[in-house]
Amino acid sequence: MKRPLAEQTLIVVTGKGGVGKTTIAAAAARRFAAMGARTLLTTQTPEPLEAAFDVRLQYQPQPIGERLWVSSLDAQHALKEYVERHSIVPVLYDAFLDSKALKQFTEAAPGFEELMCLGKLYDLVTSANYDRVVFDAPATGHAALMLRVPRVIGKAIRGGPLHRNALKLELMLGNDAQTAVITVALPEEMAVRETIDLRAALRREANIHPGPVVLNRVRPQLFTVAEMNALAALESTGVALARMVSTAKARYELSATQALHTAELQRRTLDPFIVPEVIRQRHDVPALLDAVGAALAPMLGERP
Amino acid sequence: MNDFDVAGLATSARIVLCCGSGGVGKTTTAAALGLLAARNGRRALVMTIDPARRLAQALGLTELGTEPGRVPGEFGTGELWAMMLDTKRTFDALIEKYAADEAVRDTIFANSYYQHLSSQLAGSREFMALEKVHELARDARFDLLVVDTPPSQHALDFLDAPTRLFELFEGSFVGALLQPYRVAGRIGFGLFRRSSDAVLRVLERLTGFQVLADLSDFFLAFSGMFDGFKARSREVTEMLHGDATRFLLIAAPDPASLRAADAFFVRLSADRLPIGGLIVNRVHDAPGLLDGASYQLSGADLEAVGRIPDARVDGRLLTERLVAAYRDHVCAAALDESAIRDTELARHDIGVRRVPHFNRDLHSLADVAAFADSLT
Ligand SMILES: Nc1ncnc2c1ncn2[C@@H]1O[C@H](COP(=O)(O)OP(=O)(O)OP(=O)(O)O)[C@@H](O)[C@H]1O
Ligand SMILES: [Mg+2]
Repeated sequence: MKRPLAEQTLIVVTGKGGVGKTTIAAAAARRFAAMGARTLLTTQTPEPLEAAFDVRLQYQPQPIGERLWVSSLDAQHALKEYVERHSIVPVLYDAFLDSKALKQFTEAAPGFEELMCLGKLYDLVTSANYDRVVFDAPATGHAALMLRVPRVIGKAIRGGPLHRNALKLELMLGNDAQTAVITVALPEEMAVRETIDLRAALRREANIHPGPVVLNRVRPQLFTVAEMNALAALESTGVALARMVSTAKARYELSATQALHTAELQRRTLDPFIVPEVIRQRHDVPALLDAVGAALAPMLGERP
Repeated sequence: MNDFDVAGLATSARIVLCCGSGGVGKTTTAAALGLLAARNGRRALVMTIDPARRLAQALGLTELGTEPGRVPGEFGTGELWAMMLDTKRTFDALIEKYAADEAVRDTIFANSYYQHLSSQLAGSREFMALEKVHELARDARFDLLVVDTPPSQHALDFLDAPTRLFELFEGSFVGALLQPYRVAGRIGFGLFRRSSDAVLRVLERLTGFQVLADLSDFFLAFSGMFDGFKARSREVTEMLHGDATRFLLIAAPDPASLRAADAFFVRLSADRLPIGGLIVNRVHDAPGLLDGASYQLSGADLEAVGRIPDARVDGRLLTERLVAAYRDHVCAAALDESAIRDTELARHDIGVRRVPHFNRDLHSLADVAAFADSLT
């Protein structure tokens, strides 16, 4: 049983490094916007999106299409905003905010930057400017840390603004009607395992109920066993056919292996939404995003 | 771009560091390199950074220890060893080593900041990885150390970690944090409260008092060990520049991953660090790509497929799908090649080796051997 997204306002996209988080996030955001939702796509790794959309990402959301905005979620900026809102001694602000000491504090106090970024996400989600906020989140390890931070800090720090802030964020992330955490995997052994582990960790350590699983870059099976056997039995073929048969064999094996991983996810009731590998337009970003977006339609809750 | 001799690297280098973005096959490559060295009679240790299941699995082990363990298998006179890094334990060991006395050591170990967060401290994982490499490079049990670098958000974290840590420790924040102690000459939270430092005052208001008190305690205890750490770090830098050290770049044949390899290359060159070469993993090699792919089947071939004596096989449909699969494959192979050719690396005299896409998961020592064979 797979559940498509409902009306969640915050969509967090995470998964192992390189599985296609940014691609899935960007494709989903474009699709939301096209369906009429005011959508913000935000990320901590601006470079790929800058290359894809040919814009320079800023902390302030900027429009890049109809109902579509992009921004970068920068911890230092988020921290400044936070300080401006909570501090008492206004005269010091500028010196404080630009001080190296502050930057160093955030480096020395792990979890703090993550908390600030989540706080900014909260502001964006509750701002009434957007119907959907899609967050291209960091890869598994860092994402797990980030999503756990509100809970850890909420426990470690008793009272004070940071404590209240952490509680509020924990509530947002733990509410699966408000937040959907999409885990992206590739149809490969390690990526599938990492997805399973990540989801378990999110439940256990962050009290988050993860949302849909996306299996990206799937190559659907093209051949049947009977066909493969028949091809193997062909005698003395020409060069072109021999090449095609050897390619078909490799493709058959690849798709068969991938099908095992899909089955493994299904067995664990993590039936994934499938996004096929885009081959021809792989380096043509708009075409790639269109193709991926179309494949995501069932997950995005679009009616056929 | 030229080939480079991977087996030669595995037999001559003392330290090989595998660098690349996440999910490109760093771990498998590291294991394959260790295997090549072992087969050549060397005693090779492959070290990986958590989560190390990948390496354990690739080497056919059920689990991987945090100390070097022998990988069972026949390697002639050679030996293959593997281990994973335990950041926290390495940190503990460093503190044992450099703490002035037991009291300082125990203060650090008992500090709640140290216990819960030090392993998350910016760059500490990378720093500890380098520290461990330094230690193991002197271990007489091994001729070669292959390091699978940590997956990091930014490819260069690994190299920048020590500097980042030092900047942090020497920076104005920690300085301000320690100020009240220096004045008072003893530890006490009450003194901290009187800190005149404006930054700390604001931070205290933002984060709560206990956070800063813990941090402050930690850095105070740590400050005495700082010189030891720095000296150690200089040795590590020297080691990385050493004659027998090589950095191996690993990438998938897609622009994002190759861009990361380029960034590594630029940075390594700027630091004059020795680059062994680039390994591009999972390359589609289409038969016929170079000598002109033909999507046309001869009459005889068409007939042969059409005549397949199996009622479940429709010759015409099968032919269509054969052509489609071949087209996809040639297209993927061509895109891979163009991505590789478009790199900055391609314009330099860096050796490049391609490892084919195996179309299946690699999860045994035999699979690692197949991977290694494609490199020789
Ligand atoms: N369905 C797909 N078909 C073809 N190529 C794809 C597909 N999805 C992603 N890619 C390609 O895979 C590469 C990695 O994708 P992407 O940058 O989205 O991954 P990521 O998970 O965000 O990586 P990182 O962990 O580095 O942030 C890119 O070159 C992208 O174009
Ligand atoms: Mg990304």
